[in-house]
Amino acid sequence: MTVQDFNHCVDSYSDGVYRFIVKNIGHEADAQDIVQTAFEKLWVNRDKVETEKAKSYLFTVAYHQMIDHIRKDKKKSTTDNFEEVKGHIQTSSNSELKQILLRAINELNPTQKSLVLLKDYEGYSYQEIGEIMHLSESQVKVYLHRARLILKGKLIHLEKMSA
Amino acid sequence: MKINIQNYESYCLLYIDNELSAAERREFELFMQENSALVNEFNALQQTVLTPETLLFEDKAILYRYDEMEASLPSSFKQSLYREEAKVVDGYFTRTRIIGIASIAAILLLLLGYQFYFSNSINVKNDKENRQTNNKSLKLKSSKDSNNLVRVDANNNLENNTLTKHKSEIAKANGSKLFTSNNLPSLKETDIISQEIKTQDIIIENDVVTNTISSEVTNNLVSDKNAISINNNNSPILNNTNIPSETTENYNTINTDEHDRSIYIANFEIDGDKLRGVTRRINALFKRNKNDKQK
Repeated sequence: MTVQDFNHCVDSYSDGVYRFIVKNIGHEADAQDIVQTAFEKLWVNRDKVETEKAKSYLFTVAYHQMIDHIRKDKKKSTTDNFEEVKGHIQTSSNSELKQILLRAINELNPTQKSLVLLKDYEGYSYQEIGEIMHLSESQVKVYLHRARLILKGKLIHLEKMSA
Repeated sequence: MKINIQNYESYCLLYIDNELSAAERREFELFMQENSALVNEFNALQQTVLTPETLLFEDKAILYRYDEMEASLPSSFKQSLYREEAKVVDGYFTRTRIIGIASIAAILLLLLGYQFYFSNSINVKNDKENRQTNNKSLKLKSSKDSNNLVRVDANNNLENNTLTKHKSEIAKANGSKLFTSNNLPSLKETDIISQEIKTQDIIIENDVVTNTISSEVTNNLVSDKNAISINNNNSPILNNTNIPSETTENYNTINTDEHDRSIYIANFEIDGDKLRGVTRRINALFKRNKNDKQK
C-alpha cells in the first residue's frame, strides 16, 4: 500500500469508521481516538494489508478497539451515551420514528448493535460482518435477525406508548 | 426452498438485509402480493432498518501521511555523516616503559642508599677509632700531669702488661722514665712539654698498639676501670676537657647473608630482608621484560 493508497483510505473510510464507533459508544472524543488508532495500525501494517481489504481491516481493528473500550468503560450507560450522541450527530431525518429507533438500538447489546450498524450503515454482507466481528456467517444471520425482531417489538411498543 | 407462511419472516429479514438473490427477491415480492395481510408485518420489520446518516470525521489531517514522512537520505550520504572513533595513538610513555624507568630509578636509589650507608659507617668507624686514640692520649697526658694518675692492677693479664711495657717504652723514647709497671715517678715540667710536643707521635704509636692487641684487650685497657683508674681531682686537663663517653659499640662489616639486619639510609631504617626481596623482584621483572621482548 502506497502513501497515496493510504490517504485514499482516509478519505473513503474514516467517516464510516467514525460513524460506526460513535454510534456504538456514543462518545466523540473516544471515537476519534479509536479511529486514529485504527489508521495507525493500518499504516504500520500497510505492507501486509491489501488496498482492497483496507476497509474491512479498518472496521475490524476499530470494532475490537471499541470492544476493549466498552469493557473498560462499563460504568457509562447506553442511555446516557445516546443522549450525548443525540446532540452531535447530523441526522438526515429528524422524524420521531427515527429517534425511537435510535433509542431502541441503544438498548441492544453491543454485538447486536454492531451487527445492525454494520449492516445498515455500511452495507456489509453477513460474510463480511462475520469477518469483522470474528463470527460465522450463520451466527451473524441469527444474531441480526434476533436484533431486528427485538427492534420491531420495541418500535411497536413505543408507538403504542406514544399514541 | 419455497416461501410459505411458516418461513416468510426469515425471507422478510433476508430481503431487508439484501441477502436474497434476484430470483429470490422476485419470488418474495410475488409472495407478498399474494398475501397482503402480511404486508404490515413486513413494513414493521422494514422500519428497523437504519437510514445512513452523514457523520464526518473532521480531523482527517491527523490521519494523512505524506511522502515527506517517508523521505530518507541516500545511504551514501548517510555514510558521509558517520564519524569513526578516533584512533588512540600510543605515546612515548607506555605502561611498560614507565615500569622500566621506575625500576631503574628504584635501583639507582638503592645503590645510592647502599653507598651512603657504607660510607657513613666507615666514617663512624674512623671517628670512633680516632676518639679512642684521643682518649688514650688524653689519659696518657693526664698521667703525666699527675703524680699518681695511672695505677695498673696487679691482676692485669699478659696483654695489659705488654701494653704498659709498650707505653713505658714510648715514655723512655721521649727521654723520661714515666711508665713502669709498679711505680710511676712524678713528671717534670720539661717532660710535660716534651710529652705535649710528641702527643701526635704517641697517638700514632697508640694506634699501632691498638692494632696489635686484640679488641678484647683494648676494651679491658680503655673501659675497665679496674685496669686503669683516673684521678679526676688531680687532673685539671681532664676537668676542663669534654671527653666523649666511651662506648663499647663495635662497627663490624655488614654481613649480607644475615636476614635480620637493618640498613640505614640517612635517618630511615630499612629491613634488609625485605630490601633483598624487593631487589630480587626487580631483577625478576627485568628478566621477564627481557624475555618478553626476545619473544
